[in-house]
Amino acid sequence: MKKKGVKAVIPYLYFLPMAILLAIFVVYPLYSLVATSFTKWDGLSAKEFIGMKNYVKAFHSEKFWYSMKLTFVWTLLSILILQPVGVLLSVIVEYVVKRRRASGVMRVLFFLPMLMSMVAIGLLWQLIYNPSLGLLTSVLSKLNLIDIMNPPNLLGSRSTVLAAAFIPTIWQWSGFGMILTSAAMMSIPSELTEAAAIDGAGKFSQFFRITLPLLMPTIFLGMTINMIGAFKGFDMLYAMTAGGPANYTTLTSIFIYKLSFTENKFGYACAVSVILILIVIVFTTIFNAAGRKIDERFT
Amino acid sequence: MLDFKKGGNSMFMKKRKLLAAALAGVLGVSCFTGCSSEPKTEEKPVITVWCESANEPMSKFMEAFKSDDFDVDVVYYSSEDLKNQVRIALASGEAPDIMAANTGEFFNSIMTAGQALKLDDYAEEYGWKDKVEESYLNSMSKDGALYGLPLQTQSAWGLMFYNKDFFDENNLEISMYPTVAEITDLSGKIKELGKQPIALGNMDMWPGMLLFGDFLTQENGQEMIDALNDGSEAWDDSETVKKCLENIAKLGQNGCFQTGFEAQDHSAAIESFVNGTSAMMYMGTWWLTYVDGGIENLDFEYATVASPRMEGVEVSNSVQIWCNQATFVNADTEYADFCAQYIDYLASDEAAQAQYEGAMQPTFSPDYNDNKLVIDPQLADSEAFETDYTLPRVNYMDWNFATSVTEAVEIEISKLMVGDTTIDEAVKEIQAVAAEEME
Repeated sequence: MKKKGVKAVIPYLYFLPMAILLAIFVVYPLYSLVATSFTKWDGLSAKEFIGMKNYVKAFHSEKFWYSMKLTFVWTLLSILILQPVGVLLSVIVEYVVKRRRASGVMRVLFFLPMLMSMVAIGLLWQLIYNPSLGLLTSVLSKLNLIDIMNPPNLLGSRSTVLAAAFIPTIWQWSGFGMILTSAAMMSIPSELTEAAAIDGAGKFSQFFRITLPLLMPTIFLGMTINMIGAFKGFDMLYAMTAGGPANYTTLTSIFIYKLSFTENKFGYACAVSVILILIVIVFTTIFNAAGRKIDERFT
Repeated sequence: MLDFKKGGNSMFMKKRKLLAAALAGVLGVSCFTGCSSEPKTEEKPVITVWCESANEPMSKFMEAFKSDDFDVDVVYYSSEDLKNQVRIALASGEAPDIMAANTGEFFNSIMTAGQALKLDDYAEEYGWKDKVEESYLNSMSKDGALYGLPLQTQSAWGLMFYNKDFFDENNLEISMYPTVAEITDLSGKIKELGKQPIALGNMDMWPGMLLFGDFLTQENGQEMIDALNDGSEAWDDSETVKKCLENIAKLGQNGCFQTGFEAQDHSAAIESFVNGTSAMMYMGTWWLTYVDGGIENLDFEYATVASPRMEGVEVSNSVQIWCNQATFVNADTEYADFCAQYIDYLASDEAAQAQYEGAMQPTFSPDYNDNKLVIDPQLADSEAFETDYTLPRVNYMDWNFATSVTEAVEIEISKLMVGDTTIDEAVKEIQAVAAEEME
């Protein structure tokens, strides 16, 4: 009996190191975040308990809702564009490029931006877009496509800044979608496409009627990961625009950063963070449920 | 093949035991690698100093300090990083012994929280008040006690720089106190000649705030700033504020700033001026140290005039010239006496010399500044610059107000510059934030 008791505990002992790490790096910070969200704190003086005031302030704040609107737009773009572009790249690499070696090189080139630091990418593209000093102006003026005295000001204009700032995200993250999709493609049994070919289906039909439906769970997984990443997207965008011009790219993550480190309103920033976490949890739950339905339908 | 059931695993088990013993041995040896058979010498205490990234002469000077009693470890941060790191370090109780912080709301909150050591006794012992600019000491004092010292260079705003060679070659003229109308007219001519007008990098929005400060100080001084802060002057009711914002809006909407100013930072703006893309530049006097290889490598002659003036104004009422940061001692330091010795080293004539060599700006030391040529000749040969230093001084405008109010003003200025809002809407937004801050 004693041996049975000991044996029952052993699996939990293997889990213990991870549990300790989770407790230190996830549970405790989360607890601290929620606790601080009920206080007024400038990071220097003692915390002052103020109950739900931070949450009430957030829900009445135009800046908060504007940042949420920008975040939702950014997330929608991420969901609808990043993974489909990844699929497109995967199709190019796996189907269009015939030679194996060339296909391998292209796979590496498309994935390379994923290895770069987000801040470095933000700074790089800020320079590329700079109307006076940047590569974009230089190339377009050499091709006589623009007047050098009126260069495109993509990051300086309210109407173009969010889209312009999203392009580097596509450049970086589509590689991830490509790798995910390529790996999923390799797991599709070749007998299915061979059987379809024997029955007279062309490459186009094979892809759209066999391969793509079987890829749907993976595509959806990629979209879910992109969605979570978009909700907390900060570093690249902040390096590129600092949330500007004015506050036209101040996503909720940047709003939280500014509240904390510019305005020194840590309590309020924590409350906004908690709201954002809850929203992410809700959306992730919805996506997971949808993902299960897709799994059932396509596998 | 090993037969685990019948003890045929004995060879395997022996290998495992051998491996485990070897690992234990390596771990045990590594525990003792720090030990030495030599007798331990008593280590000197080390005081840690955090400051903004210094240029070579100043960093060499800071690291050259020698004492029999203690050592100094100097850590450098960029301006924005230093502010964040100091705040985090103070909140976590891991702050260094000596730090620097922007005066205004940030240093006020440090003094209020009791995080800075009172320096009055040391100031008297070492005579610091005679070594620094006295007018800055108020911003580093609270309830009559001194908590910080102005040991950084003094940067001036209220000025604009232009490419004199380009102006001379193209018969362009600019007055010493150019009005907004004059600048607008000049900007059009510069563009026709193929250059961008005024280099400005407003991505971080504080240059716009400094420009607001330059307009505000043309007819006002500290009393206006105090009135806005204590609510006796409302942002949405102040003709002065509206006039300042109106002039900024005119400059921005009439194309006086280079294309892309909204999305580039100050270093890109300096680069734009230095490489000849822009014919003028609105910047603080510290830009001289940003020129690659030094100001002597600038391949054109530049000249200095006053920043854009409101109609009818020439010489300002006051000027944004301030010491960049307050140097202070951590209230929890164990080595207050050592910190005081090091601060005295930073307040010496040799420190002023190093500061000048690196920054080419007025140093912290009024005596040194009076006796030496402390400015780049091209900058010195300007009536506007010389006059600036005779005027009453106010702190840089982005440090004068609560940070949420500053942020609100900066955002509205950014919008006004591109015509995304009106003056009335802008002041209403700012007043809403200011009122909330006062509650």
